[in-house]
Amino acid sequence: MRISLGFMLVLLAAVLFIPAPATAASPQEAIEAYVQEVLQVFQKYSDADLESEEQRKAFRQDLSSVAQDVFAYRIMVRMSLGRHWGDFTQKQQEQMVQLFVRVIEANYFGKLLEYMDQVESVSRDMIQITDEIVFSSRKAEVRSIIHYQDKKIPVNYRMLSRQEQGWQVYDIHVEDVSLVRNYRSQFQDLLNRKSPEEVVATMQRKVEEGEAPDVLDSE
Amino acid sequence: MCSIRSRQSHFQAKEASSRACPWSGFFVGIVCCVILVLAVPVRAEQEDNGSGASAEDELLSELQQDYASQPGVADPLEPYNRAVFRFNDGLYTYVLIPVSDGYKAVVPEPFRQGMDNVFYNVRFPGRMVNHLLQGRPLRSGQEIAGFVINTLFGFGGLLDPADSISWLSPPEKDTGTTLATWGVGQGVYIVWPVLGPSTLRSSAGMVGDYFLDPLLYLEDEQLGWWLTGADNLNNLPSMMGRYQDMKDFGIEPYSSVKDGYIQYRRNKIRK
Repeated sequence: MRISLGFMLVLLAAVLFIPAPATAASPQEAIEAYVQEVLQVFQKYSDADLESEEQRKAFRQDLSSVAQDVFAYRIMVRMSLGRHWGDFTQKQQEQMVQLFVRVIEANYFGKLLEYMDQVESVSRDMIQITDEIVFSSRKAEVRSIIHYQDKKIPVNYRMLSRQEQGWQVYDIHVEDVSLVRNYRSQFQDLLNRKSPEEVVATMQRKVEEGEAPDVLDSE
Repeated sequence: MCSIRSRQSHFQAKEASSRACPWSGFFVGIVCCVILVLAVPVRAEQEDNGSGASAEDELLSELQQDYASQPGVADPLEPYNRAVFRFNDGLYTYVLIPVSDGYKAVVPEPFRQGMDNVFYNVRFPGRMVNHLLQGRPLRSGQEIAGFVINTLFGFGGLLDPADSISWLSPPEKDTGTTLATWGVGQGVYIVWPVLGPSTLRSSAGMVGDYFLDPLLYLEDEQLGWWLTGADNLNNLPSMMGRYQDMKDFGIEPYSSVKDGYIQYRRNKIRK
């Protein structure tokens, strides 16, 4: 009897203290939460003077931390490098991930700032989540449409379910063009001619210049 | 794992000793609780890392296969294509983008959109014929209905009310997509001066589209050319915007534009 009391307590403890499995949010919920957070950042800066470099920097930083939770950047880079991933040393891999994040952020957030300059106010109905397609228990796609100046731009998020982070984005299709597939073809091309070290340097240059380096001239 | 094992044996020892003391069961419970609270998260984490990592590796190799299974495009003309790409890049950067920026500054966006709508509306015969050639008569009918509604209720196509009715907006089809549905292969990649990326099949398609353009058949031939020119100028901002985006995001612009074009065309055919 006493032993069973002990076991009951053990059971109770087990039930109470075993950590809940990683967030059970659906892919669509994950994107909805992301959109909501991005809009919150927009709202926070809606009255700010985005002409000032300081404010622009703070805006980018806020967006960056929102995006870090949702985008599986490391996986994006791994997919973009394909079979060449293994040719990079661990240090180079880390460098590539960091540089990739900077290229994406510099351009993506730049576009968002441009967008903000052109619309009077940003509201929830500019982004419409239209569909969720579940390929398997770990792979899904969330479809959305961005309304911009009378245009409808389809933006689809390819997602994977991860042990700790829950559903994360591993690819974005803008107007049906996959970002990862596009980078994959670029890296493939570069790595046919260059060593991993040179590719890291090319990325570095790209980040520093803030725009496309003139690789055309370097051939 | 080692620490867990030692905790388990500790637990067994306590369990054995509980027979001696009447209160010991309660204490055993408390001790077990404490032990479990300490042990369970550690154990769960260790298991997660083990199975989680391998399951993720499996998923990643599945994704790799997804990407690897999509073929690109043959590019035997690469040296020529790169030279033309470089020429176009200069032309876009120093001529067409400034022209496009000037046009954007002078002509407000609603007017540009309206003009785009008018040309899209007028060019419905090309889309209609291609739907028919692809064996989709229903879509042809939708094009006709869209044209009638936009012309009657959208001020001659200036507005696009049919666009808000999804049934009246079938996917856009051109002659290149018709050739694709007939089984013509995409052929090699070609970069045309001024026009930019294309394939052999899409280039043949452009010839077909040229003949399906109603503006070609205007009685006043010169007017047709002027209108085509105006339409091209009006399209410049969105085309140059897209090119600039590709360049901004791209590490290697030539491959970025090539792949972007191929993906875009493939999706247009699939729809």
